Amino acid sequence: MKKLLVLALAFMMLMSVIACSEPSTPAPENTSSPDATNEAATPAPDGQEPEGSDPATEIRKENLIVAIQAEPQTIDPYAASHETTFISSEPIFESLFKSENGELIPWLATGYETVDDLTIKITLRDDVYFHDGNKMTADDVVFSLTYGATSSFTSTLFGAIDVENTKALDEQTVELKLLYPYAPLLEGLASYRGAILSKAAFESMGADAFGRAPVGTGPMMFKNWVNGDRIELTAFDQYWGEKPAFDNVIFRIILEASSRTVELETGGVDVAFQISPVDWTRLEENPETQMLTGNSMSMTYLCFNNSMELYGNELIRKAIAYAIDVEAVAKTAYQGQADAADGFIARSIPGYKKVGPWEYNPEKSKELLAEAGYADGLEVKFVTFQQQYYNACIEIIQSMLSEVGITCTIEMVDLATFTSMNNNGELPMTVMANGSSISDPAVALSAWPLERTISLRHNDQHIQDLLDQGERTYAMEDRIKIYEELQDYLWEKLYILPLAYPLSGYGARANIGNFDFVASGVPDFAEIEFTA
Amino acid sequence: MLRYIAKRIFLMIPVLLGISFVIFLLMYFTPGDPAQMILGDMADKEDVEALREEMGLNDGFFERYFRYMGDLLRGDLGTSYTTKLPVWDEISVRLPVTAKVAFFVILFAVIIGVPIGILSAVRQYTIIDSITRVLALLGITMPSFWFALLLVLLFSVRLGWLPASGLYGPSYYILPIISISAASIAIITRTARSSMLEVIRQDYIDTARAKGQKERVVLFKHALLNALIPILTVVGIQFAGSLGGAVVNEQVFAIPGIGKLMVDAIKARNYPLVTGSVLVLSLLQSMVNLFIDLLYAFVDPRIRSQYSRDKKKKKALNGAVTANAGMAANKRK
Amino acid sequence: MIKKQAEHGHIKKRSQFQETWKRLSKNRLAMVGLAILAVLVITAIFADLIAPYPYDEQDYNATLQSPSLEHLMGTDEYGRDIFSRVVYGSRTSLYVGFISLTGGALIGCIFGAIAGFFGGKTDNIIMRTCDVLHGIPQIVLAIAIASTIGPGITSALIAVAVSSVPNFARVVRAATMTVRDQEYVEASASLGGNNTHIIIHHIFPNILAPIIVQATLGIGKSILLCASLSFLGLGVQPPMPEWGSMLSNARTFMRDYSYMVISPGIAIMLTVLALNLFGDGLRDALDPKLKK
Repeated sequence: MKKLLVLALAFMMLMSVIACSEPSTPAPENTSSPDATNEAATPAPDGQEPEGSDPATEIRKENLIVAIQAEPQTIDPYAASHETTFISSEPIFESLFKSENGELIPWLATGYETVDDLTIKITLRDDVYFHDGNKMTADDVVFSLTYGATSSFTSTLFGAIDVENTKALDEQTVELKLLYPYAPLLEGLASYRGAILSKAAFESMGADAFGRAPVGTGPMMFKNWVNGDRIELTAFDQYWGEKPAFDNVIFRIILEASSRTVELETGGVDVAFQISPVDWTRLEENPETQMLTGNSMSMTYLCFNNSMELYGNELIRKAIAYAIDVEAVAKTAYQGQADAADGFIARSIPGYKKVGPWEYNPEKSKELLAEAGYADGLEVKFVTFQQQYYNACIEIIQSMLSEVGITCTIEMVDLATFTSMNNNGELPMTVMANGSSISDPAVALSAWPLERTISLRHNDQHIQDLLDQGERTYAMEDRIKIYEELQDYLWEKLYILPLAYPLSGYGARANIGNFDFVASGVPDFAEIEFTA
Repeated sequence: MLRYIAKRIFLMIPVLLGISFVIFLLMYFTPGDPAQMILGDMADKEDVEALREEMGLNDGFFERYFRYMGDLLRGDLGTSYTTKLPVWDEISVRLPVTAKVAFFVILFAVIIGVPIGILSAVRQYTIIDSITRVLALLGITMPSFWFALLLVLLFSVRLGWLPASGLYGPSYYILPIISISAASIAIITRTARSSMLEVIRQDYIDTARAKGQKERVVLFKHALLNALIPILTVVGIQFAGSLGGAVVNEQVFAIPGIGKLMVDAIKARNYPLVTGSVLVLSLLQSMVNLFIDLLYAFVDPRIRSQYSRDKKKKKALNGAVTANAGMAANKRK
Repeated sequence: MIKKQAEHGHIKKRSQFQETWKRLSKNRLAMVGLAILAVLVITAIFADLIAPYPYDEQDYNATLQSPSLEHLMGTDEYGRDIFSRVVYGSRTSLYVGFISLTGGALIGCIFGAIAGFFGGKTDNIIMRTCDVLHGIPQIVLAIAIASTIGPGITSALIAVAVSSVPNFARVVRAATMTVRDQEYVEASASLGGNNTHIIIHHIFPNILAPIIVQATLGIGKSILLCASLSFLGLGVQPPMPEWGSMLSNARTFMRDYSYMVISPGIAIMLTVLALNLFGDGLRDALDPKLKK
């Protein structure tokens, strides 16, 4: 009868070995996959069309299938802050400008004129139509700007717009008024967050319905949303610009990271977001797929709740920081795909200053603990939600802190509870990231203004003063000086401990061309070209 | 018979009421604020408060519960907080997906499980029996997402035979069905085996054999028919289970089913959607149970006669019948 | 009189136990199951002595190491020794399994016995309550509880316990109903034994068999439920080692580092297998119909 057990064990091992072991040579994979790929892809229509109507050797495809990591709550870019909303709304909407390598390119606008520090005159194209057939006018732009200034999700970016006095001068001209000088404005308008919406559609549908079936001016228009499964966009015939090389974009919602990788490998999708770092090499080495990776604009940090007595104590914060090997945290938590953070904003953002990383010095940590009166040990607490990387950081930090006699409990809650606790200032310590949708220090430091500092809760007017100065200074050299001063000050105070600059990456099939990595994480799909 | 059905349906009402109450109560005590989830981290306190007021979240528990029940009586399941769509619209998209998968799962499990169970019983103590029992045990002991991932790696990545996720055609159903049904197959096989063994030992089987009937007739007409009740019980339980319990597999295979919907709804504190989908699911499960009970009557004339007997006796007997069926289902060997 | 009866019951119980054991020990598969369980319990008790490393000791220079003499089952992404974590994980799994099942069984049995014994309205109310609990999918219940009190081992415990109540209640109710009308129970009642006395002294000993069987099989289920919860991100609090969460955390690495999923996977399977083998054997041994 023991043979039953032996059999069972043998079967289990066989199963796992067969499935887990990768083919040692790529040869069999190559011979069998193309067929398999086609077969797998046919039910979700993915057939390549023969040469399109263009005489040029442009390759057209019916569908561009994109795997995203979660279902967006809405596709209205002003009504959410989640990446999936921006990714899926990107082909639907356009902004007044585009920003390429720091250069501002007029897009829906034909140009702008800075009248004074508080006034910008923007002229618009007159050949742009919305998906509902209405022509884009200055009214739509004013409406979108107003929406952006008042929505709680975008007021960090557009809150400086003077809603009362911004108006349409004529059908093609907008006079944009500001409440105070605001340097990041144009960069914000040039990002995907400055989308221009159809006023008529928005007003007739209402905000909620508009978020489910938005109307913009982009090359793709909304077609269908199958709850929990996919969002379909289709080409907009009246698009004023160059038509994309595909007829439809299908965003498939695939929550499991490993499933997204597999779909990309087997050709079930053309592009996949949020590829787990362990799979990067696999996709790079696979001749059928490519990885697009680079520095993201986010910074992961250890957040102290400075309004609590314990963490408001600079000695304690520094004692904790000295006990943490930041380099090891960054490398281990992100499986090698992150650098130790050495500043308070991402490196690619103007105004970045290298101030760290914080020294790893357990002895000094113990000294500071003793100085603070905790020579016999200290108890601290993390609260976190289910985010793989943050949790990894915390788990590693927990282990490091125990070496200097700091006992660390981790309370895991779900996101909704976390959000409430965060807003009520109930988080003692946590690990979170500070993302930025545009490459501007004011936006990258959006966790710091006094009225927004819900998580780290510092009460330092000096920071606010420097931030205000930085925001209101237009000359870039002067701004950079202000932000450098600010970062030195932050480093000295250490209200938060910068941990990691994670690399970000998305995967694509090898035949996807003209598709580059963008640090914002929201690439331009319309420019994609297919190679043979 | 019709009276029996009517009565059973009538009896579902208090149970559904109870379920809605329990879910409502659970959600009431859950920390986290739906208004905050909708407006995001950076929202003003006043805005959140205003939205809470508008959504009626500041009202007391009973006020909210009775308002919900009032709407429910008018056939209104409420509006989903996140999508602002009617809850029923969301459910009606997701439920058929899950129901379809669950149906195929159970069909597959029966087609595979019952014959193997019978074979294993008839050939007790042979190598076939041993292998069957090992596989059955494996089906029960394997964590389902592990099995699912192994299947994907084997059939989609290495062999390239089957698509890895989504439900866009017949071939897409194969892997989810195999992985979800593993446990059901195992349990059905075991039940079929044990109840067949029990029946085969009975005297009337020997009598039938002695009368010179063919072995096949003996097995299928006499034995299987009598072994069917415990099998049906288990099939019912498994079917009801796979309607609500396939959350993990839905995630691995990116299936837009109701399990995932419920989990997401809980995470987003989308109370109407949570309550609505649990209610609809429970109703469906009760229907499945009723259907199975009716099948008992179809299979076993003794039970059929009980359904139409007078009230008082029926209750006791029904209890006994279900109890016996349950006990038998639990039995093996 | 009562004393005598109790004594008699005692002797009878012991002989019944011996008889069951005799039959059980003849069932080799059940014995294998028991042996595995014994090893597991010993591992859990002596985890400190068996494990070569503390379960939370991280070594950033030795992350994702394949199995070697130094690390029998390799190391995980934080450089922790997987063997040590599997060893300590036996504590967690057994803890979850036994506590949740005892809780669920206790409540379920009390209500089931009351329902079966008294029948009528009491029965109806209790059984409808069970239907309500049964009608809520287990995983949904678990997630709702986890959202309420926070994810972690306690919410898994409560969820498993609550959702196993209806099963226990049903099994016990059915068994009680059959026992209730037996002559010896009627005899005891006629001798003036009160209800509590009858339930505890006559009914419980006789319905013990289905309870034990249900419990043994249920522990396995609860271990698997814990694994599913971990998969959905509602597992134990780190750095506590638990097989289910080890398995689900390792799933991102399974293609390159298959050993990471094999050892916790096999640990879970062996445990559940052992519980099933033993549970089945016990059922057979306790089944009066099989008495020759």
